[in-house]
Amino acid sequence: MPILGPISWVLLSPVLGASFLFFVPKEKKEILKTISVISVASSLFFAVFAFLKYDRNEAGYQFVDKIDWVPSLGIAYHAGVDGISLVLLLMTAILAFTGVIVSCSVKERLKEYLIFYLFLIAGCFGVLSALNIFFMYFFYETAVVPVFPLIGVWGSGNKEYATMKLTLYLTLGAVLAFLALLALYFVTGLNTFDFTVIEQYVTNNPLPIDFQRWAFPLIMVGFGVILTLWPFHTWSPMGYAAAPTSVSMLHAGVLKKLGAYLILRLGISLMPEGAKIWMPTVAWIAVINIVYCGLVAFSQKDIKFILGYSSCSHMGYILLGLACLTPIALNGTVFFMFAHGIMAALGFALVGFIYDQTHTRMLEDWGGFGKKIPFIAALFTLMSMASVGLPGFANFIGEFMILLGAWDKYRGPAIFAVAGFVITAGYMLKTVRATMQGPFNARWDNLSDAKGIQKAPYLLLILLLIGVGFLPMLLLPSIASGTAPILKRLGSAAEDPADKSIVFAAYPLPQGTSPDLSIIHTPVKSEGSAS
Amino acid sequence: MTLDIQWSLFRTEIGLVLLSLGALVLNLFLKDNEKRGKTLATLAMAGVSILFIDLCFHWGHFGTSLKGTLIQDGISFYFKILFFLSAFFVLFMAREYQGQLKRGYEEFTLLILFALVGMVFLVSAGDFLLFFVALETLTICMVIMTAYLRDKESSIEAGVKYLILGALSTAVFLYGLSFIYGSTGTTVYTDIQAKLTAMEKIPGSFIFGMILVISSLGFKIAAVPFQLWTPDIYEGAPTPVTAYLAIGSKVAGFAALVRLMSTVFSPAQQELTTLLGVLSGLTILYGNLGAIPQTNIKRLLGYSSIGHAGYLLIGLVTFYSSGKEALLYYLLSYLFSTGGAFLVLVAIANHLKKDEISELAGLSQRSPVLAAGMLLALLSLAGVPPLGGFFAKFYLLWAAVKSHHFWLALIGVLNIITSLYYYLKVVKVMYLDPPADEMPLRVSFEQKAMQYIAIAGVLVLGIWPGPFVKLAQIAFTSS
Repeated sequence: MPILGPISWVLLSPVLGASFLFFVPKEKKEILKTISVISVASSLFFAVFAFLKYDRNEAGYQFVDKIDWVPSLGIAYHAGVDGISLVLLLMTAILAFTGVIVSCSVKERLKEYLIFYLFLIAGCFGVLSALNIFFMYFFYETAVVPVFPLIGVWGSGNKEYATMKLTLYLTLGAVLAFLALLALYFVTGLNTFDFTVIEQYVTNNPLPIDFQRWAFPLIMVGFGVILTLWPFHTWSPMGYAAAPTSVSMLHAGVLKKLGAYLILRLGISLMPEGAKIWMPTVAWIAVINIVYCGLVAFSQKDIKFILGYSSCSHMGYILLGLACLTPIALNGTVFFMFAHGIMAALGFALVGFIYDQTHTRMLEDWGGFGKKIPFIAALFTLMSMASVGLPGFANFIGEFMILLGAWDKYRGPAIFAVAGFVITAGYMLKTVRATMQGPFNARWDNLSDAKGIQKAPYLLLILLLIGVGFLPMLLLPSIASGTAPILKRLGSAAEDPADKSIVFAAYPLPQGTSPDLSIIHTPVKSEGSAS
Repeated sequence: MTLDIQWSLFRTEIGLVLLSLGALVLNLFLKDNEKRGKTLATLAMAGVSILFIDLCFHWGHFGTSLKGTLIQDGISFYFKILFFLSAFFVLFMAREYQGQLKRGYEEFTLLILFALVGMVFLVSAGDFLLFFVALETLTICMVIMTAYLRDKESSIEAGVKYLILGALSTAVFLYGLSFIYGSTGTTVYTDIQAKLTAMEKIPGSFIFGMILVISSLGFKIAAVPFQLWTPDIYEGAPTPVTAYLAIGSKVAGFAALVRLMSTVFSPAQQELTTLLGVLSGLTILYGNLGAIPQTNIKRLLGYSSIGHAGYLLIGLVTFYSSGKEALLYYLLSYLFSTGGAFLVLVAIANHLKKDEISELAGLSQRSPVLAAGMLLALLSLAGVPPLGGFFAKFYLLWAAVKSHHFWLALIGVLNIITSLYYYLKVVKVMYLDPPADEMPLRVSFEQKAMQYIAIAGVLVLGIWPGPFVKLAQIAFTSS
């Protein structure tokens, strides 16, 4: 038995935690909570450890563990991270940690809740750390299914319909992608699901163009469903509105990003030609996401629906960023995934905090909370600003980079995407005004603010948003090291003279040079709508 | 003329027959009541376990005997393991079900054992005549057991249906066999195979006979177009018998097909593949779409078992490329999942009046163990990781794509969604709906233990499939 590295421990901690929970009697709530928190804290510890120890100069897959599973089919437990999954894994660990803390306020059937929740977390970690296509799919499905009981039992409102719809939509997407993955296995002829081997093979022998042409859309749509690719987005606002707080946090924060991650990993990276064929279409769909979902968010009355549609609208930026296939846009996309994950989770956590006390989320019922619960209200306002894309928050960096990339590649969609900012600002400001400002309704006199340790998870999230917003270099070098091989296969980076622009500012920053805009933004040959 | 019989090769068969006859004799001295019925079932379980362990330790004692009439190879061993497991589950269910039987407590156990004898000989048979006798032993026991609840109309109806359709399929089988014999002049598998390979072209009469034989086995495995009996009989039969039909009789049907396809039918593989491909697609669609509107849990499992027969047929379609190992793996995982689901139904049999799904409401609060057992069984059947059903479906679809059966793979994956829908409907009732009666259910220690065995099986198969894949591969390579 080989000694497992930190990445495997990130994955194993919640699994072990959930297994221990089975043997704890359900009345012992404190023990249940302690075990859960310890298990995710240990995940967070290992994720941070890996993040600090990751060698950014060497890049590639690090902390690799490999154990043969079904050798005759080429399946092995193979875990490790590159620059992209490292960043996303860190985000997931942070959200899992805060999510479990928030979960501890669940009143009914806490034991089952925590068990399902920890399995959900393990599934997310699994997808991000797996380096075997079989296990990527395996963990993806593992992450999708526990949501069914989590929403069904502990949710609110139209939960039965919402949870069934969510599960079926996501599984439908997954099985479509699954067909493409099986086909991929046989097209390479390598008789293995090992991602690193396939990746290497594809670098030297591009897959047949016909195969890429039909397999890429299967992956794009299949995993696009969870990324709320229009018109497959309808499960999401409804599901989030019905879900308990901590599930909305993880789902909006992490699970959506898994879709984008898998499209990047399996679609764009392995089938670059297919991506080039289909991405102009995706860019326009992204516009529909941004504008249409934004407008729908504008007309919502339920605050969770506003956040749900808002997150669909923001996914449009991720889709647009993926569609560009240029260094700056791809790096921006991954960065934005990190930022949006934190921001969305914070938003749902705050709304959940208030909802637990008010038991209504209607816009007209809330109001003037700024006076009554200043801490939560202030954070909610900050979260809204981040969502709008105000400079100083991490979201700004990501959206800015995506738009820079899109401007060169798809000028038409880029113009609409910029207009999306206005829409976002419109509904977010409207929401803040209607909830945190305005006249205070006396029926909420008993509302209490977060106290002491309760504040910790919210503070952690907002500080991260601001911190990364000011210091994007914390993440960008690792992201750039992860996207570099993908871009190389896309053929856009190799001939690009300003190769260093992959990094937002060159890394390591040459001594004595001041970062000027030409490093940030090197025009790339424009295609499509621009011509 | 001397018989070339090697008794040592047949220790399992001999042991099993002795066990059944011993139980029969013991039955004469026991009073016919519930308590004695339980005792006999427990003894039978012990006997079956001993034979099972003995079987596992004698893996590798391969050979043929009686001029090729009896075959011991990897296939027979693998399937015998499955049969013993399913008989073990069903015997336990019969033991728990004694309260529902009004008479003939001990005979119920005997019939299960005799059916097991039939199944075991079915897979070891190397000659169509022995095959036929074994098949009939199994079918007749099943008919009697289906009609066992004599004061329940639905049970009698199911029994009559099974009897008539069973007789019809037997007739079809014999008719087909006469063509096979007519075109080759023998009933021993190896001789038929040798004759066929020697011929330039496979005679049409042989193909016709083969189709008839497959049709009659299609009845056993509930494949379209021979599936119509399934929901009715699953609903009407006593629950342990329904379970036996699902995890015993169906597996036996596949065992027979595997045996025939790896010997007699292998010269005609092209014709077979096309035929089975069409049947497989239709069966998957029929079973899964038919299950959607069901409100009766046993009918639902009946339709779902048709759907699974369709998936298993993918394994036969791709039999000659790499589907055969996937088929064996799927059967093992199917056995544990379906067995687990029926264990729950038997455990709450006293509380189910009409086997309606709505009667499971709030099961998660009344008995978390049973609800968890049902949840994992159904999710495994739906093919959700990390459970056995996931890897089983994965393996089969892998085989389908490998042999370029894209349409079949597409039908297969899309019906995962359908099946997830109707399984989740049951999960919803168990976990979301409030119970009609808040009283916690009493679950005995043995019931819990069996439930844990089923759960463990489903989990191990899903999380660590490697060794079982290896076992399935060995089953085909060693003889």
